[in-house]
Amino acid sequence: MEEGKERFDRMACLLEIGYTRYEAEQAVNKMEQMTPRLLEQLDLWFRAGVLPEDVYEGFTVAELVEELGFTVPAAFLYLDWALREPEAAKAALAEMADGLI
Amino acid sequence: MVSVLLQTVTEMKTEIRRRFAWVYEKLGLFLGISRKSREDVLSEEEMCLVRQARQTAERFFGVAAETDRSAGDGEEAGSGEGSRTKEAVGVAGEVLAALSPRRRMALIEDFVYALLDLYGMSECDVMITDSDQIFSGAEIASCMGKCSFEEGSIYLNSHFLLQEDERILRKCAVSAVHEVRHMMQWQAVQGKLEPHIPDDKVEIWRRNLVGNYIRSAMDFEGYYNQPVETDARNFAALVTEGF
Repeated sequence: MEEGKERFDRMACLLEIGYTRYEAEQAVNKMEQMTPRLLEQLDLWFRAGVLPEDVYEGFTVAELVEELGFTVPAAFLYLDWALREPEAAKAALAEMADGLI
Repeated sequence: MVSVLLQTVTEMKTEIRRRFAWVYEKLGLFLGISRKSREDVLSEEEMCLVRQARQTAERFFGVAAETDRSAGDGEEAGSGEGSRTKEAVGVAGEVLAALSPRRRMALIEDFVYALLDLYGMSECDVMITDSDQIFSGAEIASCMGKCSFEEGSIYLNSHFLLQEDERILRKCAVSAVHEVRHMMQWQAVQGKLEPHIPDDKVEIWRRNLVGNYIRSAMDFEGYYNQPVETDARNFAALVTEGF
């Protein structure tokens, strides 16, 4: 029950900050498998807007947001990837990014 | 007591999910049957398109530098991802760096138009810009190109073409091919692309592009590993290898 509410709340926050429904669903699915410490910090941001200053694999959430334009949840998702697969995540970041508009 | 028990069960469920996802991914890669590897294989007809594009690149940038393999190696078809693990070797960066910013922009623009012509997409436009309406906020320093299907336009970020670093300039050329591939994907989904792309691949692109595209700013891993991005990187790597 509690888990369902958390999922609903996270979805609502993501939709509010501009995620499409598909992006939000995919992101929430990944959050449910996220490193517990990161998820705790992300939920704190969702609830109170507090950003952690911890450095993970050489990155902070604020750096990823300011320098790469990630949303805060995207920065957490990236840090989780960097913890799981540091080389792949860093190599991907070193490549170009692009977009469809 | 009950809440502690529920908390423990929730944590166990999360951990089991994490481990299952990890095993699934590793097993898929080990057996070579992951969805990603199947999608990355280019058909012989697509490899022909790659060879034509390489000839076009040769007209603009000169002869490609030697690498361990060429795009014409049949057995290696569609394995451009692997080649990117090596240090990029190429001539495009050098050629572009030798030109004034204005001339290098003109060269890249002509190169993209030539590729669009090659693939029967002459009606599409190329624009080199630093407009904040296209590249907003941090994108000006992190996003090399964009593709607008609605407008039929490819936008390349002029900020990067003003740099003198050969590696960055080479990336601009790679990025240009990457965006052309996105335009091909969309044209194929619309049934308008002349060169034939296998139906199952077009269906995967359609599912990804129509309502299921993940933007880089929203989830970089999701963005990076989605089918249309993997395919565009693979295609661009094959076309520009050695350039």
